[in-house]
Amino acid sequence: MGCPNQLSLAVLFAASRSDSRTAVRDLLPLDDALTPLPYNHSLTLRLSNTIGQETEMRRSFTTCVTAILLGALFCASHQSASAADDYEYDLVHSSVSFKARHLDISWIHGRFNDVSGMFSIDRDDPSRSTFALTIQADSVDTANEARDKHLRQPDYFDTKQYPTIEFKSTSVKPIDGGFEVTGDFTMHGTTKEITLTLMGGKEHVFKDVKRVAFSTEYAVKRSDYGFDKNAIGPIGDKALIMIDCEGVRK
Amino acid sequence: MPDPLLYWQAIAASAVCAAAVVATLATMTLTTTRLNSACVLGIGVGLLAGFYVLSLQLQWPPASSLDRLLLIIVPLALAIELIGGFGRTSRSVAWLMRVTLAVFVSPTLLYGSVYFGDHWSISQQIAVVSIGAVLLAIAGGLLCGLAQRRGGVVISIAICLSIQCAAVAIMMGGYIKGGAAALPFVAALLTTTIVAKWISHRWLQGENFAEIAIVGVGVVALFGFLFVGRFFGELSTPHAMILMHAPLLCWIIETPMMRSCRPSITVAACLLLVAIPLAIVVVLAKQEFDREMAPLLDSSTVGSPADTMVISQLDVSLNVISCR
Repeated sequence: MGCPNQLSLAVLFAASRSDSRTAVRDLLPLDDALTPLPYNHSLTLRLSNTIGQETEMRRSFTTCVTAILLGALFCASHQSASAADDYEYDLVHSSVSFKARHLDISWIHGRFNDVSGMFSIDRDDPSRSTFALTIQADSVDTANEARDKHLRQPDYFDTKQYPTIEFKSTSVKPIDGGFEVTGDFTMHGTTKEITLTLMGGKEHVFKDVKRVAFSTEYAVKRSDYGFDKNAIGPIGDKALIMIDCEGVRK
Repeated sequence: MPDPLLYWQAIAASAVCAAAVVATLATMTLTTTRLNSACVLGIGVGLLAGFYVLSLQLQWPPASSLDRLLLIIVPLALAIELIGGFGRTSRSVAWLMRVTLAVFVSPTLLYGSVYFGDHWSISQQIAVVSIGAVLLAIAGGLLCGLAQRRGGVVISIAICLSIQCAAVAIMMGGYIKGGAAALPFVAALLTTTIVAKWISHRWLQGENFAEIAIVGVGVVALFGFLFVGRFFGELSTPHAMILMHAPLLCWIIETPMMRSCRPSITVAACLLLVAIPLAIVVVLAKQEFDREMAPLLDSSTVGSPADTMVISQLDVSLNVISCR
């Protein structure tokens, strides 16, 4: 990145500084050099001019070194801040879907079409990674408009009162093949701490854009999140949420 | 899923508890003021009994609009009618309390929802809240005023009919819990009206039983359920407006033609007039239900074979009516 080189340069400049008088005298013509300094007016004038220039040079040199040192410091700190990569949820290449039991004999499948999120992955210190996801509950889609309208009503998702389903991580632990992410999951106005196992994390660069992807599944009980117990009957209490998300590096 | 047997049990519990409280308290010290207080307490106890049988999950602090209606608005309405019925409370103070409640019903029910977030602009919020307050204040004022002029049970029965039809329409729109919560109101209000009227007739020597407390609570409950059904369920605005204003047709008893008729004919004509728009709303709601929701139901979720048969026959009847 060039920052270590700039630092070396600054050190070299400081080390190469030599005695200014010896340098000036070496530059003067021989005759002037033999005459005692106080008695040679032109020499004094030339010497004072030279000393003035030399002071100016020293001042400029000091300013330069300071600037280079500050630049090196800035480069070093910037390097440590960008150790984590920030990714934005790619809606086109991701999906949040769910399935719930119907009459305990089959599964009803659905998905949420409007999802957004951000995650930050720190390869050097994975515990500093963060994950956040926001699902618009109104975007529920079970391929049946009448059922979707029913699901948006207060007996189920109550989307007018609780428009979003959210997850925000509070701690991240690296595991073999991914991360174990603990965070707050909020649905239907109720927040509970859950732990997700995110498998994946493989990176790919496509058209100069870095991408990374994770998958996870999580089982929730609707009754734990304030859903009406009387509305739990033909549709089972447990639902399985499947998240396949791909992030695009910002 | 809807459970008709549970609903009948809740209605019965509500009716019995309300009647018992009114009868017990009213006979202890029999004055019109005490009868008013007994009615309010009877309605409250009846509602609690009905909610208990229904196993309604209400959260505190209130999380949903239905929670706010049942835990904040209705108790406030009961308290206002209790205080307003005391002899020392002047009528202007009682009306001031009612109007204040009318102003706060809409914003309370919409609190924390998307409507007060990104959904509506500030002007839309103000417009809806203002219109709601005006509608409730006017409807409540007109009905309470009529109750004060004429007394009787017809207005309370009309309000109960409206609440019942609202419950059915809300449930058929897909909000089952919201519709079910309205059923104890019908039972409590109707039973309280009948028992109080009987006590007034038998023991208060024909003193006019002012049913203002029952009407006051009933109008607030009716407005609340319709508001919740409209903005959180799938109840349409025209249906909500018809259900809200149908009881106002009771003012027909003030017409010269009705004044000259016998009371029984007046009551029958009034209730028939109120029932017509309510029946139309219920029929239209049923048709919409058949169109949208019925395909989601299969034979194993409808109930017993007898239920299926009744529903099929109802379908046929409604189709015949709509064709005509």
